[in-house]
This record gives sequence, C-alpha cells and structure tokens, in this order.
Amino acid sequence: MKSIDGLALLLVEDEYLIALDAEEMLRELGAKTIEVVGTFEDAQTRTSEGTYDLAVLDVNINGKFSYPLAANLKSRGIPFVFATGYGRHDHTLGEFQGTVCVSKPYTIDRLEKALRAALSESATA
Amino acid sequence: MAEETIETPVELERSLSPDKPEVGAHPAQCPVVGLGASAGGLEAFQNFLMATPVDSGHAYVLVQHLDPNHESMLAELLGRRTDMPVRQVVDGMDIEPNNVYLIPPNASLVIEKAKLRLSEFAEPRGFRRPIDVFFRSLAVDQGTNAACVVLSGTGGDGTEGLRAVKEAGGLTLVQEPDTAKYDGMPNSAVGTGLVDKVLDVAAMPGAIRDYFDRVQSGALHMPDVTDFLLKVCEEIRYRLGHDFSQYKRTTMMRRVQRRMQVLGTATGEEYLDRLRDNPVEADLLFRDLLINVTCFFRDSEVFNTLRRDVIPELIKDKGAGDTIRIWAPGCSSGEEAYSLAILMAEALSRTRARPTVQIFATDIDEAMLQKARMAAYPHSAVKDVPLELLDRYFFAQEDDYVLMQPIRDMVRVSNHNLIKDAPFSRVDMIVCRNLLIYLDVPLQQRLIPVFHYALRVRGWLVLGSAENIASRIELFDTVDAAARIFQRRGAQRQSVAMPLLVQSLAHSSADYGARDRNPPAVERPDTTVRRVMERYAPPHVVVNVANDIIRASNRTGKYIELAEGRPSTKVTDLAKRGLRTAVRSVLESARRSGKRSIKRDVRMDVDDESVLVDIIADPMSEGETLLVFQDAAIAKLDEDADVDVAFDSSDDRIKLLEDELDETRTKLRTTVEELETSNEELKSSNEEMMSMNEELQSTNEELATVNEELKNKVDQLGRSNSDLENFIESTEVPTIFLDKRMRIRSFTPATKALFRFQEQDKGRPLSDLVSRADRSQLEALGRKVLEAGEPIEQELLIDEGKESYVLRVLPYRDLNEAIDGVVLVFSDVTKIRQTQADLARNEDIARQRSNEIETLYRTAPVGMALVDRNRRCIKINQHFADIAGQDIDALSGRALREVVPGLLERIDRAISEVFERSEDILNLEVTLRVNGKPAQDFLIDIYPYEQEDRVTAVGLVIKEVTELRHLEKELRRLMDELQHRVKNTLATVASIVNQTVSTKSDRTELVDTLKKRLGALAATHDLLTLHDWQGASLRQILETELRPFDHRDRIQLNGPVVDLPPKHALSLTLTLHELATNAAKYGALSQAGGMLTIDWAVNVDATGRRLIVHWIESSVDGVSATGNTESFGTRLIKNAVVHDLQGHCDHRLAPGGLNCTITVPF
Repeated sequence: MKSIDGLALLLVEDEYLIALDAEEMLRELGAKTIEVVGTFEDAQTRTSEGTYDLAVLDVNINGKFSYPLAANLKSRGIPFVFATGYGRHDHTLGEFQGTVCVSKPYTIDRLEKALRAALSESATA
Repeated sequence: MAEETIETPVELERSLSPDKPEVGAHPAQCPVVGLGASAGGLEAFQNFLMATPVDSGHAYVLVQHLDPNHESMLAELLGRRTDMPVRQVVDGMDIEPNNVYLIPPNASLVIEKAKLRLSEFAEPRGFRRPIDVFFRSLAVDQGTNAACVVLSGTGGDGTEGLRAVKEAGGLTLVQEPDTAKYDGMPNSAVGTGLVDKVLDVAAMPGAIRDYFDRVQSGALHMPDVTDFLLKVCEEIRYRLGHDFSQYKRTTMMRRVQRRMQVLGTATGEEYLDRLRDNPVEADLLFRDLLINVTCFFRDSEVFNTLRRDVIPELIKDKGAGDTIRIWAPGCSSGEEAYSLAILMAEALSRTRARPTVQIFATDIDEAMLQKARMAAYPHSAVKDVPLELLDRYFFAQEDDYVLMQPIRDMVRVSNHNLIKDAPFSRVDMIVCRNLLIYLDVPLQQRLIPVFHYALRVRGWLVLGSAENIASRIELFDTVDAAARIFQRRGAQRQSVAMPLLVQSLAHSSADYGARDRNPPAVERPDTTVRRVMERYAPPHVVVNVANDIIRASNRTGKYIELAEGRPSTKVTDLAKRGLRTAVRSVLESARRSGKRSIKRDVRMDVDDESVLVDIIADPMSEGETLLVFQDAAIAKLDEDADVDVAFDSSDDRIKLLEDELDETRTKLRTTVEELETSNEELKSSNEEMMSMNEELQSTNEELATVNEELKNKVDQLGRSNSDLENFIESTEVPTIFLDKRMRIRSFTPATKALFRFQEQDKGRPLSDLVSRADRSQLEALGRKVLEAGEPIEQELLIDEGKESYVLRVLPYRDLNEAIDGVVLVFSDVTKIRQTQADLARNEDIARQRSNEIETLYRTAPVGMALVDRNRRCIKINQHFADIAGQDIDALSGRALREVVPGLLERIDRAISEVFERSEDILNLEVTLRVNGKPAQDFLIDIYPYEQEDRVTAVGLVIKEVTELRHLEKELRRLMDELQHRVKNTLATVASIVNQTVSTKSDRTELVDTLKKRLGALAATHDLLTLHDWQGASLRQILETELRPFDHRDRIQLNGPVVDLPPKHALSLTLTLHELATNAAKYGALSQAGGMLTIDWAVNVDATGRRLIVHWIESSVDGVSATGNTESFGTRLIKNAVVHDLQGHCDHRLAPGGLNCTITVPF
C-alpha cells in the first residue's frame, strides 16, 4: 500500500477552517510539506509551476470550478483527489468523471483512502 | 275419270319452292317468333312465356283471336308471367329482341320490312284468319329468320301461314294436340306434314333457341358439298325412286341444311347416317324439298293475260267433238290446275261451242296429288278468287271450299315425273310455273325441248316469272314477255331423249327397296336394223304364251296404256280399251292357226277422234308372238294367202248400241241437271249455314278468350282480396274505413287499442262508439276530407299526451276514382316522439360537449392539432398556430411539414407508431428553431384518435418548455450550490470542533466554547438567510456578536452601513467572535473599566475597494502577551481573513489594550 509519508502535497481549499483541519490531517498522515492555497489565481500558478507529489483540490473555489487546475495537474502527471460537497459520482465532473473524490466533510480515514487510491491509479496509469 | 287418253303412262314432277328474291329481304335485328292461338290460347301463351328466358334475344309476336268489341286484358295478364315487356302493337312498331308484341283487338297484323303494321280486317267477321295473315307476312318478310308456333284453338287458322313459313325456310312448331285445350288448330297444322316439331309448350322456347343458335353459328361441317349432296340424292333415289341430282344445288343445300338444323346434326356424315338408318327421314326431306305454296289465281296478271289473249285463241274454232288439252306439270295440290279449269269454264260459258277440256295436273308427291284429287281448299287458298267465281264454282263444306263437279271433271290428276317420264303429246297449252327455277341449267335446257315436243303446233307455254325458255328461241316465239307466255314454233317435233316405255314400266312396278342395278340385257340388233325398227317399223310388241309383253318397240303408247289398279304386263290388259277384244282374238287366232293373223279396221278413240287400226299377230319361235299395230290409214298390207284377215264387221250392231247410248245420255244429262239444280240450292243453303257457323264459332272462340281472361282476372281478384284480408288482419297500423255518412265500413284489429270495436260494429256510426280519441274531432276531419278530396294529416294526443298518434285521413276512392268515404290511418308515434325528445336532449349534451372541447382547444395553453395518415392537419388550435407563427385560418388542411418546418422529421416515426399500435406516446422532447427564432424546447404528446376501432388520426399536443428547462437548470445549479455550501459549513463545523477539542481539556469549557463558536456562525447564517444569502450588515453582525456582553456604555460601534457578501460575513464573524471572546476573557470586556471601540470604513483607491475595521480596546489593565504558543482563537484571527478573503490583519497588543486592524478587499 502506498503511503503519503514524506510526500510534498498541495492543498487547494478556500475555506480557512477547512484548510486548517485538512492540513492537520495530512500532516498526521505523514506529509512532508503541505502547501495550502486559498484562491483560484494562486492555485493556477502553483498547479502549473509547483512541484508536488500529490494534490487535494476543492471542486469549488470561491464559486469557480477547479477543473482547469485539475487539467494542469493531470498534464504534469501529478496525482490528485477532488474534495467535493457534491455526491461521490458528481455529474458535474465532466472530463474528470472517474477521478478519485473525497466527500466533505471528510475524516482522516476517508482522506487517506482517497489519497492512496489516487496514488496507485497514477502508478498504474 | 274413266277416260284416260294419255299417250304415255304418267309420272309427274312437282315444283320446289321458288327462290324468290324478296323473301327475307328485310330481316329484323333478331329472330322473330310468331305465335298463333285461339280458344285456350291464354294458358298456352302463359306457359310459353314462363318457359322463355328474359334474354333469349328473340322477338315474340302473339296473334290471338280477340273480340273486336272488347278491350283485351291479355297484355296485363301475360305481363305477370314474364319480365320481358309485353306491349300491344301500335302501327309501325319496330321489332326489338326480348320483347313480346300482342295483336290488338279488331285489327289485322302483318310484318313489313321488320315493322309491325296494323290495318282493318278485309274480311267480314267469321272469315278472318289473323294468324294466317300474320304468318304469311312473316314468311315473306323474314324468311329463314322466322319461326311460327301454332297453339291451342279450334278451326284451322295458322295452317296456311305455317305452310308459308316453312316454304320460306322458317321453323315451324305446333303444340302437342293432346296438351292443347282445343286441338283443332294444332291438328290442322300437323296435317300439313310440314311441321318441324310437335312439342309441349314448355319445351318450345328451348327448341327455338337451339334452332336459331345453330342457324346463327352456321356451324355445319361440310367439307365437300357436291359429294355430300350426291350422296343425299343417291339415298333419296334409293328410298323413293326420285332423282334430285339435277336440282339446283343451292336450293337443295339450303333444304338439307334446314333439316339438319331441325334435327341438330352438325356434320354431313351424321346426317347421311340418319338418312340411311331412318327411312322416315328420306320422306321428310323429300317433303321439304318439294314444299310449295300455291293458291288460286296466283299472280293475277298472268291469269288476266291468259283470259284475255290466250284462252279465246284456244277455244276458237273448237266444237263439241274437239278436245282442248292443257298440261300443268308440278301441280302440287292442284290450285293452279283448277284455276285454269275455272278460266276455261268461264270462257266456254260465253260461247256456244262445247269442246271437251282436259287438264292434266301432274306431280310426283302423292300426298299433294291426293289433296288435288280431294279438290277441297281452306279459306286462305281461295282468297284471291273473285267472289262471283267463288260463288259459282265452289261450295263450302266444313272448313273448306270444294270445287264443283264440272270443274273437277276437267282436271285429271296423275303422278308423273317430268324429268323421268315420257311427256304428254299434242297439248294445246302447258302451264309450268315456278318449277324450272329449281332445276339446274342443263336440266332446264333439256326440258324446254320436251315442252316443245309435247305441244301441238302453235301451242302455248306459260312459265313462272323468273323462268325462261333457256335461249331456245328457235323453238318458241315470245307472246308476252312479262307474263312469260310463249308459243311453239315450227312443225318439226324435236327428238327427245326419253326413257323407253318398258324400262319405265319395269321401274315403276319394281319395289323401291329392291334395287335392280343390272336389268337383264335387252337384245341389241345392229344399228341399221335398230334404225329401221325405230323409224320405219310399225309399233309392235312381243308377247309370250301368257300374253306378257317381253319387248316393245317405239311409239306403242298410242295403243298401249297402263290400266287402273295393279300394273300388269299382259298385253290384253295394257292395250287400250277399244283394242283389247281385237288383240285377244287376233292372238288366239294366230296361236291356233300357227299363222299370221290380222284384224283390220278396229275402231279406237284417240283424243276424241276415231281411228281405224289394223292388228297383226305373227307367231314366232318358243311360243312368242309378234303383235304389230298399224293405223289403217297409213298402210295396207298385202293380203297374203297365209294371212288370216278378219274385218270387224259388227258396225251395224255398234250403231244401234250407240243410238241407245245417246238416248240414255240425254236422259241422264236431264236428270243430272235437275239433280245439280237441287244440289246447288242445297249447297247454297249449306254455305249460308257454314258462314253462320263460322261466325258463331269465331264469336265462341272470342268469348272463350274473354271468359278465360275474366276467369284469370277473378282468380287474381280473389288473390288480391285474400292478400288484402291478410294484410288487414296482420297490420299493426290502426286503420278505419268509413263510408260517406261516417259509418264504419271496416277496420283493422289494431284499432282496438283506440276504439272498443266489435265485428258487429261494422255499419254503425263512428260517433256511437266508445273511443279514447276525440270522436267529434275525427268526424269533423272525415267530413273535411270528404268535401275537399285531399288527404289531411294531424297529430293526435291521447291521455293528455301520454300517447301520440299521427292521424292521416284519406279519401276512399272506389274503382272509378270517385270518393266513397274516408280512411283513417293512425300511426303510433309515441315512441318516435319520445325518441325525438331524447335525441334533442342528447343533441344538446353533444353540442355542450363539443363547445367544451372547442373551448378547451381555444384556451388550452398548449398547441393542439389533429393529423391524418397523410400528415395533414385536420384541426388545429390557436396556440399551435402561434407556435408555428402563422395565421390559424391558413393552416387547417395543410401538411404538417409546411405548418411547422422541421417538426415532422423528428416525430414522423412516432406518429407512424401511434397509427400502428394505437398507444399514446408522451413527452417527446424536440428542440426546434421556428421562423428564425432562437432554438426552443418543445414537449410533444401523441395520442391515437380512433373511429370504429381504427386509428384515423393522431392528436398532437405541443408545449413550449424552453423557460421551464432553463429554470430547471438554474434550480439544479442552486441545489448544487446549496449542497456545496452545506457540506462546506459542515466541514467548517467539523474543523471548529476538531480545533476546539484539541485545545480545551475541560469538558464544560469545551462545550461552552463550542456552543459559542457555532452560535456565532449560526447567527450570521440567520442574518444571511434573512437577506436571501445576498449579504449581511456588518453592524448587525457586530451587534449580534456583542449582545451577550452587557457593557453598552463601554462599546462603541462607528461606521457606515456596509453589506457584506456571505463569505465575507462568515469569515469576519469567525474572526470577530474570537476577538470578542478574547476581549471577554482577557481584554476590555473582562474588566469594569475596559473600553472597546470598533470603527470601520470603506476606502476606494486605484487598487480597488477595501473595508477597514479597527478593533480598539483601551483602559485595560495588565495587558500582557499570552505566551509563546498562540491559541486557536488568535491563529484564527490572524489567518482567516488572509486565507479566506485575501485580506490583512494587524494584531497587536498596545499598553491600553489590543489594537487590531483588519483590511479586506471588498
């Protein structure tokens, strides 16, 4: 089983308290670095340029869908999971239908499961 | 007729029917069937018509003896038995197939050029023969296209007509006499021997159809006509001894064909077989071949010419001792011969001379000759005899006219074959009309010299109108070309090839059946001897010991003739009467003496002159004796010594006997004349009786007809009456018959529903009777109709309208159309009225429903259309028209394709499916651009419209749902948004709980802190919800947050009205809550003297709009930093606005208390 131990993570979440909680969970799961981004613009830059092993994307960032960000990550081979308030099989995912999702509010167990799934999918891809 | 002074034994030829060009010249468009009947005819006609198919293709002309003074009901009576139109004839009527024509009373009917013509009867009542008259015209006009039928009746009308039809080649049928009510007419017709078939009436139509079918198809198979006819002739010759081989081929063929048609034989072979196997057939054909119709004074011009020019010449210079010889070959039943006799008698009556007249009437048909000998003729035959001649020379006897004895005495009737037998000689006149035309030309050419031979010098020859002397002008001078009268030229007799007497004799005496094809060879002397024998030797015969003639020479006819009775070959029987004694004695004498014996000057009467004859008997070898006749005037033989001459010297005795005879004759004549006078008287009264009888019989027949008609009528009346009674008994329509005085004449049983009628009420006034109807009203109506004569119709209400009747009051008309009462007819219309009311009610309901539907169509907010199988809009509503963007009036009946372009392509399959399965298809979604408008979404329902279990159309319901779709999308978006927000809120709460739990160890404090943190969040949610999540006032957020702190005088809020967006409001709420919590715990709100001022403002510059909030605490004692580790609250204060709102937080502890400045883009 893959582990996120020692990985560099990007967390895109516009709600401070949620981001805070998530950051703590990730750290607990063994992430080496966690970069937390709260705006779409910042996230654009990071997903295009930053170096990460794994990313958690909130689907809706200040009213904007985060698909362009996902596209950036996908093109760069960085595995990611969507954190979504919608159902597990969100029909709005469009081209990212099938991407690993973790439903809000998430627990550490579910987050971990999702992250591992994203990692192993990326490895087999 | 004791005297027979004819040179040669006779067999005569009779004529065949002439080929008259006018016969059948105007055939009608279909075969014409003439039917004749008298008494008993109605039944026969009815049976005939019932058996006749309506499309037989023939026309039927019915001739019936009718009472001239009585309108005939025949057409009406017969019309019921056939579907063919039955019409009484009107003058000039055309003949058409499948029609029945009926002779009218008191008129004579004929057919001319295929039209029916009427005229008045020429004859007095009682002498009329309408059937004969019509049949004769039918024969002439239609020829082979005609058929005649003789049915029940008394007397003999129709018989002569039938003969004429037969002669012209038509079909002749007669009702089986046993089946006829009266068999007189059928029997008379059958008696002619000319009837093709004697049948039951019911079988006649079939026989007629078969016959004409065969005539029309003409399908007689005849590969070689000549050969066939030769065989037929051979057969007749074999059976009857008459040779027809030289008869005109066409005529012969037609006759034979006719027999074949009657018999139904298709091929010549078949017919020949029949001819061979059936001896009767030869007789019938023979009869057919010889049919002729002749009558007295036929072609009156010819007889006028004879009387005027020829007969005076004939009797000129003739005295009492002279004989006038006239020959009529082919005399048939003798009318022509007797006509000549009458002419001669007339001519002689005007002169004093009394020459003997001998008229030889000859023919080969023994049956006809028998008729000629009877000299009795029907009315029809004597119709051309002038009345004074009829009076003078005929007497009436039963149905016939019989010639008087003096005329009969002039005529010798005998069987003689003109072709085969030796002719008469020294004849003054030959009348041979309409015989030659049946013979072929070579035979005609052979016969003209025969006539020349037979006639004396300057003798007359009279031929038929179509005949001539065959260009033998060297033999005859033409006397009258039109009348065909010629006169013999030249003194020389022509040599005529005639059969020898002996052969004739042998042949005539032979049995017909025993055909002797190889007669014993006659000794043939050499030519010279033969010439001498023929020309110079005196007439002679050779006899044997029994006096039988073994051989004979030429010209013996003067001395020898056939005697009456069975033919004998003995010379003693054959020698003419004056010679017999002498022959016998001379033969005896010669035999006795063995020497030649002669008897001289034997007196013999030849043609009323006496000649002296020498008879020589010369014994020869073997008992044969030569017997020679020599006219004494011609030669005297040498009186040889060995001749035994014996003079006939009994002259004196003869003289004595003759004197006695003269005396006796005179006495006899006187007696005869007296007898004749009384006889004449008897005859005349007899004639009167006959004519009265005729009239009576005719009246009787007419009465019988009328009686039959009446009987039939009575039967019909009886039936009608019974029908009527049944009708009255069974009808359910109450009907009352009233007489003029409103008394009940009759009523139907159904009337009892309205009136209490009894059978005995008939005759009582209507007003006396109990009725549910208003009687006075009925009576008033009845009187009104009686006066006006017009029917009245009125509705009657009974029992206050519970029952309704329509009363019709009609005038009662008797058979003379006079009004003799009234008829009341009640029609019960109660049910009808109820039904009408129901109907009206239903109609109202239906109309209402229809209106509802119309209204629905008009007002429903959806497009509706009814579309047929061809995808045409049958019905359409305004809304549909609006969707199509067109005028509703222009759309009805248009194709759906044109109404809403693009729509049909999308739903055509669905429409087909609905037509097919008859099931609704609902909620079809279609997006269309109509009339250049932006794309619109439509929802379409299709449902079947059924009529009589069959989908005849589909209904379309179309809704425009563009806006709805838009709203749905919006709703989904909002739902998503909401869910997102709720989940985020939950995640936020979870985070708060996590953070709080990890920092607070005391449970009470933990719960209290959590309550407060979440309470702040909830309060701002409330504010946002209050404003539909559009925003929340900053001041309200602050006031709500600070409300638990009851330090009003220490808290100051300064700033403009600012509405915060949800995210700003929530983020700031969390921050401000932590600030307030801290202030309550450690800062301005934790001490009595602490002051809190919150100022805020909105700044706008080039970089944007910003909200700046200053949180200033003052007059707080003991302000100190809270150590190294920052609490969750402080971390939140410092970072939340940065993270959430990209703002800035300046958090600093000043000496008087906390100063915190928050700046957020806004």
